[in-house]
Amino acid sequence: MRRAHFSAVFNFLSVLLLLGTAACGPRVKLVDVIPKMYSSESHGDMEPNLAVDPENPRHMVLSAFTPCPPLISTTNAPIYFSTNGGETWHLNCIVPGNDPTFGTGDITLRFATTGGVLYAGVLKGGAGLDMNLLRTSNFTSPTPMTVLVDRFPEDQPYTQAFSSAGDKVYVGNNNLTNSIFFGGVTGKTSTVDWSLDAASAPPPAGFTNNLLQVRTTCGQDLPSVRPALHKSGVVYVAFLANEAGSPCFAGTNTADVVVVRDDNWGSGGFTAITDPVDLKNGVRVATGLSMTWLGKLGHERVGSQLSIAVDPNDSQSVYVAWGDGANPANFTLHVRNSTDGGKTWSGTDLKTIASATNPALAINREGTVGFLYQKLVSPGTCQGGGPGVPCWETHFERGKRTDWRDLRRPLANVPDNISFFPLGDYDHVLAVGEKFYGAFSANNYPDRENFYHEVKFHRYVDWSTHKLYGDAAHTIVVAPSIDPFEFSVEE
Amino acid sequence: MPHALVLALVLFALPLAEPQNGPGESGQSAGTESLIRQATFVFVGTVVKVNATTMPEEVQASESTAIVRVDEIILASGAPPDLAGQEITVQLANRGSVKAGEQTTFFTKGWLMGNSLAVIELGRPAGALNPSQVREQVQATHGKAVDEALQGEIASAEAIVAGTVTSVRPSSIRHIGSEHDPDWHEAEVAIDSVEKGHVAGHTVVVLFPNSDDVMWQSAPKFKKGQQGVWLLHRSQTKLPGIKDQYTVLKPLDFQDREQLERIRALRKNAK
Repeated sequence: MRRAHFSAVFNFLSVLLLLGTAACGPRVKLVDVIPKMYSSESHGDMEPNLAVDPENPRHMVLSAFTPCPPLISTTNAPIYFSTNGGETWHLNCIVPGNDPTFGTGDITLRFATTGGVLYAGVLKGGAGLDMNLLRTSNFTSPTPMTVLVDRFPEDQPYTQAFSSAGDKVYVGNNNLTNSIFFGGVTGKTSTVDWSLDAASAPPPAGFTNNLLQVRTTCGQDLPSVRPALHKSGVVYVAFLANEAGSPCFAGTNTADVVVVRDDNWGSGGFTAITDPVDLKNGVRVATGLSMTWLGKLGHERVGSQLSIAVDPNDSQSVYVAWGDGANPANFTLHVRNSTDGGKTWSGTDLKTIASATNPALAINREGTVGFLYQKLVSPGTCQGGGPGVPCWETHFERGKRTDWRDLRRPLANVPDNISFFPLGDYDHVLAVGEKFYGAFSANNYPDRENFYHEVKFHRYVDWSTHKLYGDAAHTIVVAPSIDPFEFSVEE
Repeated sequence: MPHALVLALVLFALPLAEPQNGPGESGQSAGTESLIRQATFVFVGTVVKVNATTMPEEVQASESTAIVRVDEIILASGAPPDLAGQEITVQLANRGSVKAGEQTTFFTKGWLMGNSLAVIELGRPAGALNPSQVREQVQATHGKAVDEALQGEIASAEAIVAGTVTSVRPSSIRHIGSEHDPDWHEAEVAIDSVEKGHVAGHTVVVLFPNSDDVMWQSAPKFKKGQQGVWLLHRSQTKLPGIKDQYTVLKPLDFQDREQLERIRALRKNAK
């Protein structure tokens, strides 16, 4: 009897402990997506993007600057995909064009919210500034993605999609046709391509090119143009307008963060909000921002960093994040929000992160904002770089307004000792229901201290000796390099 | 770039060639050459199980799939170093065309790479070939394909010069407002010989992208004192500011000096 009583108390306490543990922190999953069979690779697989099928979140597709293994293809670049929620990852080379070192140029991917069609905006590998908009209804098939749009010269296509009486697909891009550097006249280059029903129509599948910039620029806007979609048909696009008096890419730029809005999937021409000062279309969230142009923060180049997210439950609640600073060593991220559909914005930062880059925002169905960024800490506390080495810390904070909480430790805290742009110009986070999913790139030096608990590597690794291997027998040592990581966070 | 990678790139990028010789002339059937030109992975394998797959979540088992053990690799550029001996999934060219225990040579192109590998069989050669014969034919076809790729560049080049870089300097071409700015540099080349075309004077200036951005990493970069053979093109890219100037953008556009005699021979053969 006494033993039974003790056992019941023990069980009760155990349950309490478990509940307490669960309440202490979110469930975090972190995976290096390089597949086991590609363990011998040591490329700079940076600038990742991630798509998760909202209808079936076990279906995930990730992109990075990864060349297709020539064993698979030398003409098409790869996507990484998972059909089991990120437990295992595979390469499928279905993106037309393949640079032998990096696969593609800039690439972003998104699933529509129903139907499972995957869309991509990409600077075609080996083809310079040639932008392709792509589509596939079967990302595991060997059939290359269908080219819907093929246009030159373009930069940084950034893709978003939503299903509502057809797949609404928006690809923000910097249309360099209008750039004075390319012989253009207007210098207005911030643009969004969109289609209101892109799922099955033959190319161009309804895509049209739409200029967003209305103000005079120095000759060209900065590359980042980022759309955010709400189920009601409200569409925001943020871009970095390069002011008329800007140095215009001569080491720095002087730019404004501009947000435009449309309330019916773009049919109104993105004229829903007007700046209260100059009365022109699009509200300037911040003006006169000095931004280094391709200056180095550690080994990473910085200069054009921007993200925007809308609350899925409130089309008028929108957050924007950007980076600025003439001195790249002090490049600083800022987060602000609007609660009236972008008409007015918080006058001060809700969040400020110094010496950081790659801001990415998403808002889940609880209205919680997820904020991903990568911060250089010097000297850092990471392993594998030697004493005093600077470290890239990848953080994911959640919060609302000014109330933010970081994870107990960074997702990654890795040495900045690999030259040549170790992160890429962007990372990504998105929300499906309550859960956040994201992708970032980081040095894969295998020390568990460098990553969030229970990080999973598919590639061959010996954690005790901190070595990577190209084979199962661990006879071929592979040097540390940059890998793409997928993560998810659920409260 | 690793030589094997260049080889694979060249081979796969080539269009399928019409057969040059009949089987009796070359000892290699046209069908086999066609398969080799399409293939990214040729191996001798033993069928372990039919109607089966090593990747059940990604490749559905059917009469068109089989698990095959890789016994001997004949062509596999960039393959996992321990691929031999592993079991992989083959999507067969013809369903039901293999039996468990059967050993044959598979001409395939890759499909999926994850915890395992899935490949697509392209077909079977008309006649029976042993692995060493296949290996010889792969090497012969490779050599031919590499020559054809270089021949193509030679044919499209406006001028070909052998020489030495005497100076490298930033170009005055305006930078573009993109992180993909090529950062054009000029290499002045003292000409030892003009192999094709007409180049006025004893030097020629070639433009190359000095940027280490992803878009330009594969392009040749030059240093003072570097010797070699330049296959010169104009209008290789639509970027502004380079009209009527010679550019070097592709790895094949610059060859080691030791390749000069080969280039001369390929030019001669092409005539």
